[in-house]
Amino acid sequence: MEDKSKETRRKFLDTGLKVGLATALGGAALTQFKEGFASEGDTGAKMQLMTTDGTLIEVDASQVEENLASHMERDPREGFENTKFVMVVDLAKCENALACQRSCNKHHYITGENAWLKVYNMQDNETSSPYWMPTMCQHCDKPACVTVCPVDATFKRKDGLVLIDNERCIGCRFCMAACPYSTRVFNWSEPQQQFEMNMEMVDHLHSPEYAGMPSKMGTVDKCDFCPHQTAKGELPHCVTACPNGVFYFGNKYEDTVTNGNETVRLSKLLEKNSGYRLFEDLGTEPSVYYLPPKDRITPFEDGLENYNEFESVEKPGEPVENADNPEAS
Amino acid sequence: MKTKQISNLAVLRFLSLGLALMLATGVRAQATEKQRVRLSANYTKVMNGPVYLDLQATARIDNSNVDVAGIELEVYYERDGEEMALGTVNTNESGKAHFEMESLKAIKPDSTGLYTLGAAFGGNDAFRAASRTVSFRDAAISAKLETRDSVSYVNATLSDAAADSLIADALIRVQVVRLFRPLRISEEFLSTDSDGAISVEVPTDIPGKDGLLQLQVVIADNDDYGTVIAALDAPIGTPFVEDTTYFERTLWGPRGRTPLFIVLFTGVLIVGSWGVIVYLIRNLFKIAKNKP
Amino acid sequence: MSRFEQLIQDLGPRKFSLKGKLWMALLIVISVAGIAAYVDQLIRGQEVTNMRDYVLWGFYISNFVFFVATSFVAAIVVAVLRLTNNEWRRPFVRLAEIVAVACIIMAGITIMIDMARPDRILNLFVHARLQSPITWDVIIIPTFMAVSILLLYFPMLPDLAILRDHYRDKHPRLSKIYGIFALKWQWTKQQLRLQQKSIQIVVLLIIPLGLILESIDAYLFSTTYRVGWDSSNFAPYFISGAMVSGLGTLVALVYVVRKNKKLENYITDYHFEKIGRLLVLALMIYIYFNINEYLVPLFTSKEAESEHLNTLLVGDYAVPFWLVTIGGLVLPALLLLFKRLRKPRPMFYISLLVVLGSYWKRYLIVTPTLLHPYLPIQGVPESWRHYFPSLHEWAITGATLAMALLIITLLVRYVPVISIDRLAEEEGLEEAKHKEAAA
Repeated sequence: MEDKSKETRRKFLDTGLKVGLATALGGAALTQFKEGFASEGDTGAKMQLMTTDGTLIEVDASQVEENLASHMERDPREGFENTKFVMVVDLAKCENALACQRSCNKHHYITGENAWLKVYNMQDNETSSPYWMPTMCQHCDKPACVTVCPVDATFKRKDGLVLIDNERCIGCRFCMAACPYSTRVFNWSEPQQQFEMNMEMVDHLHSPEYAGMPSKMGTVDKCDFCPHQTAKGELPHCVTACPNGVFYFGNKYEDTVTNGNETVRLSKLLEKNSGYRLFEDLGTEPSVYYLPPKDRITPFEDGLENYNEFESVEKPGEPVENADNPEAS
Repeated sequence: MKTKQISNLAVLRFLSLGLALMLATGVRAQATEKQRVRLSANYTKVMNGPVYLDLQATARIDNSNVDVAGIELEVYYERDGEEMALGTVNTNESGKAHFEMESLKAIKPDSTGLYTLGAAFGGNDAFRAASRTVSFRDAAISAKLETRDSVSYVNATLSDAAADSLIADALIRVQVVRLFRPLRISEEFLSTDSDGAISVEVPTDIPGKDGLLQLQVVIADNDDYGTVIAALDAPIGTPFVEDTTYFERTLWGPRGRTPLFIVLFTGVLIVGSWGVIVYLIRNLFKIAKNKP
Repeated sequence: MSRFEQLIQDLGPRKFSLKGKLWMALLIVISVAGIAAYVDQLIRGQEVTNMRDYVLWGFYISNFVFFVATSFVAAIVVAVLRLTNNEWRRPFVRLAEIVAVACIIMAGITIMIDMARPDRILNLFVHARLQSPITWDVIIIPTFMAVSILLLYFPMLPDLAILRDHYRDKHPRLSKIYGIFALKWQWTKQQLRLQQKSIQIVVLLIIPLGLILESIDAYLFSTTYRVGWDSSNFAPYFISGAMVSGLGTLVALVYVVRKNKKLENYITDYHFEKIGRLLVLALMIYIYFNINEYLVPLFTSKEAESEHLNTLLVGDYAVPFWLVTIGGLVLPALLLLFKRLRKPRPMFYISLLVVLGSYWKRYLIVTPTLLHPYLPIQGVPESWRHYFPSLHEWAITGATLAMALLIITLLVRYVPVISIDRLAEEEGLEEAKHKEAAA
């Protein structure tokens, strides 16, 4: 037993993995790590972590275990207690700056050609004026995508989130056909994601609560409303990235949403601005509300500069060689 | 099968850790010139609770602000030009560090009642040494909930602990703790009156779990007093009702919560057709067993 | 040579001619090429197809729908004609059963080709959600497969026994193989009773199962919010379409088999005339449902729906749409109204039109709808706004068709395409064993 755990540890070191991180992976890895520690008589408050370039650094062991514990108490299929996530998108403030999209692409390691958050160039008819409409997963209360999933790979949580288990998805794409908001994205080929850590490690860390970390070939991805951010008490990436405070996010039960700068009552915001939801008549009951583009802060035309009809994920000019992680590419 | 749970916090931490290290080594490789670390420090006091210093380390590298992760900061207090060490903290992946003390009793102010806390970075291969101090006076908020004619009010008084005097004309606010950011319920620019007091009506329709609201009276980033928070638990909210079909049998429920008519219909279909199929196969065996 | 011997020689297994061997070789080459393409798809992922996030289903799915539709032929020809006791069914029954078996097997395989993670196929059982139409498919396809195999097998038992006996001395090894499948069939009273009863049950069973199979196939589309799929007309529309593609395929196959096996004496103009009428009826019903599906909505269609209809009727897909509708549906129906054209050769060409039309009809059901989502197609490469199958898709789909034909060819090679036992009994030949047993 002891030998085995020693061997495990050595293997980790050999492959340049960040050993300490293993404890954050889950029960099994935690046990291995603890045994490995004890057998070397090297126990203490610090954990030695090896970085990809071979440098050893020390981190508080208690911190890592604390993170682990705080995660264990929540079933990723059930979600946060006493919470129902809601988003409000204020179209009057959107000028197609695309900071939201870039931030989302970056933090979810989106490498395909279809972003999860898209800003549509909309015009309802020839007479009415055009406007920019950011669209992400609507996290419907009656999600058509979940209804048709044959294997429970995409599921509806108690806190309102619709998430995907990429370890279970069989790639039938029925959910994509069912979604009227065209929000789902498929990994047609092996995703060319790059992480600062070993790919094997990233695989271990995979959770429905952090979509794209990593993406899996032959499975579906989409906006997850960033529960990994909520777990830290932080707002989703798009919300914090937006320079105009277009996105408001919060807990519907608390009737409060915030765009980071301004925290307001959800009901008052919707009442004052005549909030609505997309395709209400379909009966999908989205969790995203829109405020009409009334009294725009900038003219619509200003956004045209950033508008690219055929691209939503910027490609790096040159593929960056990651010498440390050959497995990652 | 048990779904693997992960620590997202840990992920991010190590991602930026790796990034910072890569940057650091990159810088080292390019030039011997070290980068300057910028520190910022914010002092917060919670009434009947701890006091803490929130630190943030950033550096400007290649024209962008980068959080400096994994550096050790020494926290100290200053009195009469003397620096007394309090402890050390390490910045996390966002370059943030949090230093907490049980109360202000551990440190001493100068003769005018002014406290000075500081954080210093000793420098390493990549970054030069840096430090930052923050000075403040000790303020206190006493807050009470009062109900008159079924309307609730938060009454609070702000005072200077050292001078033992009330603080007038200080910006102050009353808020409710929410999931991400607190919701302000006082008017936008509310100042204490000449008695250092305020009285704010609490709306009756604020939802909270079981009607429980966590109210706070706060002076934020005050030039003289830093941030001071007084918390107040108030059972005066509207209890919210969970609105979820999670436990019901719905079309979008998991397989354990399939609507019964579907289970019934499919069940009848499977049992019916496969029952007959099995019967037919049995007939084949009977035919095969037949002795002429 | 006795009449009985003659029957066996005409209908029984016959070695492949050179043409037959070349045909087999061609099918095998196409199959192997398709398998190679599929292996490449497994390795590189479905980026080798031209499907993308908007056209997320393409050739594979329309191919699947075609197979499912064609397998319905067993339910109509065999079961319906048997139940209504139409005597002219005889030359079609066995071949229809063979087509059904081949098509339902290939339907099961093609749907897996569209799955991007076939390595997780067990999830369909381990984590099955009964709310999903795919799960219904997972249930109904094996069920229908089992029943159509039984439908082929039960009536075939006496024929297998005849061949077993026939080859006993001439070809012992072949005789042994037929013997295994003949299950010691000796025309005993009990065997005949069990067989008759089983046939009756299986015939009764396959009709509802066929209807359910086609309906579920339609539900795959009509349970989504997609314009052009979200139609309560869809299940009967699919069922009537299945009658057309099933009968069309059958007529074409019967003609080819008749010509190659020289069965003009067994499958006569009379038979073609009869099944021609059935095909006209099927075409008419399908035309009726097409009117319901495409013309009636013009009156009340919502914005998105009109756009979709426009694409089909006058827009990008107008040419294939009208080719399929006129060439594969209206024209065959009109032509078959003339008795002169309900002769084997003209009917063969007409049925080819019908099959081709049926095949592309499915493509037109699947693809144009996907190009009309509720929100505009933006932020993706221009190429994602169109769809035409890639080389891989052609190769793989071609292979599935080749494999279906391979199954049919092999069954036709080794199994009497018309029941020898039945014919012998009808003609009152002394070798017919029914009387013997009854006596």
